[in-house]
Amino acid sequence: MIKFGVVIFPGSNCDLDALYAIGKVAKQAVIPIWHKETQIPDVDCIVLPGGFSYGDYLRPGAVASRSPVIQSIKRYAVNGGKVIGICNGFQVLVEANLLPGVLLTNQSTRFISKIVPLEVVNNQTPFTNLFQKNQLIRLPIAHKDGNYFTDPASLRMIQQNNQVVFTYQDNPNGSIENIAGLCNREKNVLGLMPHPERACESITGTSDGLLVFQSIVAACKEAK
Amino acid sequence: MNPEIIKQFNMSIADYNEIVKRLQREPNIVELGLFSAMWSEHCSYRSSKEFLKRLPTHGKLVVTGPGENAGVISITDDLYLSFKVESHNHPSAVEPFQGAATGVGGIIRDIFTMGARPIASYDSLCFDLPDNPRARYLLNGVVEGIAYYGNCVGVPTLGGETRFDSCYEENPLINAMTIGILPKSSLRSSEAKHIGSNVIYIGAKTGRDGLHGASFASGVLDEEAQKKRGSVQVGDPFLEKLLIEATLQIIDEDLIEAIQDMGAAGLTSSSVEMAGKGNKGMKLNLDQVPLRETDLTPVEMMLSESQERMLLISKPGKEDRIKEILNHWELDYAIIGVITDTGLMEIDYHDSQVASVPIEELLNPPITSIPPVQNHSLTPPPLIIPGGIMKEKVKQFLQDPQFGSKRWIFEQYDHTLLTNTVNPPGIGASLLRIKDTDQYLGVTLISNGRNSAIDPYVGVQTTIAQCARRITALGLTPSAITNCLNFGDPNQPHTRWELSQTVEGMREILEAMEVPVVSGNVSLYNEGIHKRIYPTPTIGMVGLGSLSTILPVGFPQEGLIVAVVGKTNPSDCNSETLPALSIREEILHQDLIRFCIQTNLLTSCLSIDRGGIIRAIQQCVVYSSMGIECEFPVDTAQQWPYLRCESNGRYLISYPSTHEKAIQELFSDQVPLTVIGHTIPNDLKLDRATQFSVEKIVNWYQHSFKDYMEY
Repeated sequence: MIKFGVVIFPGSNCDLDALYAIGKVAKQAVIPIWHKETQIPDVDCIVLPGGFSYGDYLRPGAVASRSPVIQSIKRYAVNGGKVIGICNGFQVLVEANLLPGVLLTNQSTRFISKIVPLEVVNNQTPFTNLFQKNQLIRLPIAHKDGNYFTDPASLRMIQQNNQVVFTYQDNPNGSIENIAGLCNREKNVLGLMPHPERACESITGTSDGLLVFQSIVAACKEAK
Repeated sequence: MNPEIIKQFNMSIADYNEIVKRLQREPNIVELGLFSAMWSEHCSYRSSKEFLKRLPTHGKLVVTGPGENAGVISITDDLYLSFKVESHNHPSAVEPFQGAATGVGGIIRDIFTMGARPIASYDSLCFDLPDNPRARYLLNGVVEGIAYYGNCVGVPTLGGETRFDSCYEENPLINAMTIGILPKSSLRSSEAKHIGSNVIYIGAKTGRDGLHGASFASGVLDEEAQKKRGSVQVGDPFLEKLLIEATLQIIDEDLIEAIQDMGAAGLTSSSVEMAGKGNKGMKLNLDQVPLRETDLTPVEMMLSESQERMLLISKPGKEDRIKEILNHWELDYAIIGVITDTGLMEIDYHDSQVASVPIEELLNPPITSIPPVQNHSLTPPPLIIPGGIMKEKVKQFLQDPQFGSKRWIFEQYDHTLLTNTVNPPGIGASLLRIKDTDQYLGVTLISNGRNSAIDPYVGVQTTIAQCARRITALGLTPSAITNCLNFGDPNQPHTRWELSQTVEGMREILEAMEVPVVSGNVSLYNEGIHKRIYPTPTIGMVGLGSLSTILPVGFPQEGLIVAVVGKTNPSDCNSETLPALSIREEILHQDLIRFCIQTNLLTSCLSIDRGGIIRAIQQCVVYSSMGIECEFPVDTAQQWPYLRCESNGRYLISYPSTHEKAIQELFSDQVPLTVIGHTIPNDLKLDRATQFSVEKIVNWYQHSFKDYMEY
């Protein structure tokens, strides 16, 4: 069995959904990791869940990116450990410089919550290996600051290195190049605004997110 | 005491004299503060109590009825559901963002105080017509406030309603409902149980915000009130999220014997109610209260409505563990008092006693009974204006922002969090799955002030029947309700008549349907300088059941038969009388519809309520992008009233022709069933001259309200 760790910051509110999706639906081992921990337990993948870490005061993800656990996660990631940041977790990853770019306030300036169509533009990552290339999927989004932006030079690098993983079909927030999710150069750190953990059972409207967790499991098994 | 000071506390001279009589002395300023809060309408229900006690509150599912922070019913043998609706009208009228935000925070606290994890919120919003810029400003602020608080605190907002009527111009209504789920073992009450137990304050520090909030909500919204923005509290959803986790952990570890949130009138009402419920006394030491500003006076500490605070009574010896949990969540903790056997509320500050009054007196304000007088002074406009061309009327309806999509609102609310949401907001009742059980939960929150203005007795019954039809259309059984009674000045005889009629109407239909009231709230003094609102009872209903099938919204394919269940009476459109309501027929239709859904006879089912058949058709067409070729059983002149009237007991259903015989036999002659057409792609063909493309209907639906808000 593959073991996941879900980081809990004060103000995280998608942690329960991540624990449920991984433990109960994907049926993998999963443990919570409190934000004050400095020692990362022995896990195959770390999940930074959505929510409003530390109230998102200052800037979304800014305070969390300076927390003790993130310093350890940086070392974990440098050593090739798999990290997935969802929504607020994505914001934390860019604030921690584990991913390039920034997440601006949505173009509408309002919070947007709906299920949106996405394209899996890169299936050569540990997070998407079970998807078809260019597969169209549906996942919920729920954020106010998901408008991805980066300067032209970085954008070129990101595209050249195939770091863009998910794109919006119908851009909801103004993200540059319709980017909904991207990974680092080494492909072991993924950040995305949509919520795969909310889309693991068809009763909730779409189960396309389950393949993200199953892809991680497949990649971890292969690595073992 | 100086009458000016008494006035500052929003207290009448008669009440003051009553206090002097009961105490046999003049109260001091702190004591006056306690009485002003506890005797306010908001805390004491002194004007509505006599009516409320007539409501049915018992039933086989009821675990906890009214009187606690929220009602509780059982879902299974060891899983409970807690829910309640509450108003935040006055604060939202002067400061829409914080008013609505703290309304959401307050109702969520009521739910986790019961030991339940909050899983969904709903909001009923009533505003002036959206062409009034101030109505749009208020609505925009309220929606932003709800989104800000609900999204951050991590409780999804799954629906509600938005209504527009000029009667809400000066006094909009913001009613928020939250539901939560708890294991049986987590149920807690607010009753102080043991003498000597410690009283513990947890959560945010106390500041000056929200002073006199309870008494502010107990007066009309005049120009003075508009200046009382300082009476509106400021919410911090991040703190509340921490408070939820800490509180649920404390309950889970069984460390407390009682718990109460500090809502209206803050420390005063929570402490007095906890001690009073257990027939105990309480001694508080205000030197221990965590303060945001150091120079707060005792009376300010007692009346502050700073948000995100709770009062606990610990089990002996568990204080250290409680402190540990609060440290983990980085929340304030202080032992501020002890339970006594004196029956007194005793308050110490700086080594001297600053108040000592019998709790009994605080909890029992004088009741001045004003006899109700019937009065039909409010005259809502008729539903339809006779004459005109049918096509124009339908078009106007389909472009009406009242009936347009409220996507602009609900897309600002996180509604997929916690992964219980089965159908998205926007139509009928909300459907949730209950994890680890075979049970589903339906929730709906609606009001209809117009109907109650025409006839408060039948009006509220119609609202309750509409709730029940929405729950039924999901295939579930109505289980219990919560209610918020939004009315005008209770010192007016006509308001008392409206209240009395409303409660009697509720009692009759709820007893017949065997649906109890388990929680509620009364909001009075909903009056501006020029207008008073329609009497507006808001009903939140929950329904439970297992489902063999989850029906889609709208028509899943072409070639299906579309029919109306129940009798349509086109003359039900005037403004003098309400459509007749037969409670017996409502129940009969509910049973039959549920049976049809459970036996998989139907392909879709939507209740017909506000807006009539045309509204139900509009929603089905929009949600499935499927049209209908219609043939109505009335002549041309009657067609618009037929489509628009709001007769009761009706549902719009669809089914395949292969089920026609079975359905005809089931309905036989006991329930009217009228086939009105069959589904076709691309177009809605109401008659030869009245046809619209599905694309156009969808476009109007998506834009009619949104364009008002984004112009």
